[in-house]
Amino acid sequence: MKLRLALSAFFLVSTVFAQDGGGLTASEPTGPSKPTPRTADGHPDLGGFWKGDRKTKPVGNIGKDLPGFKLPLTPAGQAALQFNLTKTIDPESLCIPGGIPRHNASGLPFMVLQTPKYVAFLYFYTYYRLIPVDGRKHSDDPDPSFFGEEIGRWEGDTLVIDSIAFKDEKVWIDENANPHSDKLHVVERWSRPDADHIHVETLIEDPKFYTKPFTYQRTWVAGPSGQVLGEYACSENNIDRDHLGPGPGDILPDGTRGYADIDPLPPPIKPATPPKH
Amino acid sequence: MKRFAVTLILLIPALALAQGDGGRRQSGPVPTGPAPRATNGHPDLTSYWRDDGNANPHGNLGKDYPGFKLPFTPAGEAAHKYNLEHTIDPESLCLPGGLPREDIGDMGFQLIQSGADTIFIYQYGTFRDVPTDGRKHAEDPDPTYFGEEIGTWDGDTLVIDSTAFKDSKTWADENADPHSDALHTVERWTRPDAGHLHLELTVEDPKFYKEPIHYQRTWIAATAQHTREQACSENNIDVSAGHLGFGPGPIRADGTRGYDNPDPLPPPPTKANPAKTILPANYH
Repeated sequence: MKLRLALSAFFLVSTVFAQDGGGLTASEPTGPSKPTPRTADGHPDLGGFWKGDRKTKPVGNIGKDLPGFKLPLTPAGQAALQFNLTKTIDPESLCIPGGIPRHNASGLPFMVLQTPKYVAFLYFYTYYRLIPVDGRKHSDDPDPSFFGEEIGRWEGDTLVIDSIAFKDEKVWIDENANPHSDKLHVVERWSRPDADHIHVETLIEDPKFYTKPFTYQRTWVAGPSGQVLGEYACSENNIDRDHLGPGPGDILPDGTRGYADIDPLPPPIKPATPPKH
Repeated sequence: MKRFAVTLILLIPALALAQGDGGRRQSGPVPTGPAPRATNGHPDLTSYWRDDGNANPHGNLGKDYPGFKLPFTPAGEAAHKYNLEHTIDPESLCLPGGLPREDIGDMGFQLIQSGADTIFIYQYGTFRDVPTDGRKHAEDPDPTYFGEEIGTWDGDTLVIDSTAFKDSKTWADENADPHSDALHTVERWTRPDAGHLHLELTVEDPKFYKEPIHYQRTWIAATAQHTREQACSENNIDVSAGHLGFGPGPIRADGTRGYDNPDPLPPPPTKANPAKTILPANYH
């Protein structure tokens, strides 16, 4: 029987950071709210180390804000979900970028750095996305990618990121293996209502797999000053790769996922003898 | 045995060179005037930076040494031989290039400086994050490919001091020159004017090198470029099919590397003879 370890990377990282004292989630800050910092060009500065709050439930489910967590799947979308649940290995476990909107639904923290012309989002697993905010429009025929072609613009104090040209249909839109097609169009509206919070309103359109657009919103809390992302070399000794089963595990009634009764882990592997110099 | 270890590196410059001018036409005008400054008064190193074409032989840590000879210890000599004969190019296996290799490769990179963070974003989708907030090295940092990197400002120079590197199988440059876990790098980054970024690099590794190595080079601001998504592990058929040989190819007298007579590429796929994609055994 295949071992099902798709979530092991996530749990491993959690363990490391729990020991580090850095923490993956943050509590609500106490005291009066501090004003939104601004960059020299007058925009809100979205820069920071952002951690999920503990109120976001179910984590990793793009249908979090829908009644019963039911996504408006088309028949093709239903078939694609079934395919993902039973036939595709979690792409992140294979060291493929999670893409958008999956990273927004993730339980892991991220960093933002903002310059006048670019906003960079840096993620766990050492992936990043770089969003130009320089007045450009979508290209005529953009190359498909996991994060899509992302174009940023300011609408007042809101950074709007419009993304098209996503890659194929085997990437998961969230941790629950919900599908997206190459017709995916994502509009993120990022704001920083005060110094300690960043908020996104996400509009997800995918007429091939969803009967209507739906939304996902979420707030993150600022991490302590100086917390940074550690290096994560996903492809280093990725021994789980050949042991992974498809899908995210059973989707549970609370909208989360996983195997309630997992197979026991195999005995530890004896480390190879390093070369002598 | 087929040796395709350098195909990635050859392919990407080839795409840029296909434009006929090294891709420079797409780089935008080189900005002139003094280096911009950040709101905290330090020089702002933020830009996309492309190779200036003068760091030759490219990809060679010993480029400024007579005969390109690095001052190996006997252990360093043995480690280099081991890399040449026994290790697959770590970047071909989607591992981070690490330091000092990323400073020596000829691919451009994106630098973003914001407050106390400086981020270097590289091709192949990796980045490194250098905190410049007054912190010191930890007492027992975890080893990584980029090391524990601590930034400080020395006047208008961003100094990055890095220790705690991972094992000795990572290459210090494209030529498979070795480094050990005793590696210590000091990078001194300056932006002498708006259009140029300069690096003075010192590499110390008493296990593998008899004396500190000095390396310096300059990049040019490419205002119209930025790094693009690259999913190294997506369909990396060179790895899953076991096509990669060891080492970077023979080191030539001019300090570069590679196979002068590589095996011919297979014929282009046709309908009758389609390309084969190799996936993990349990990938449906």
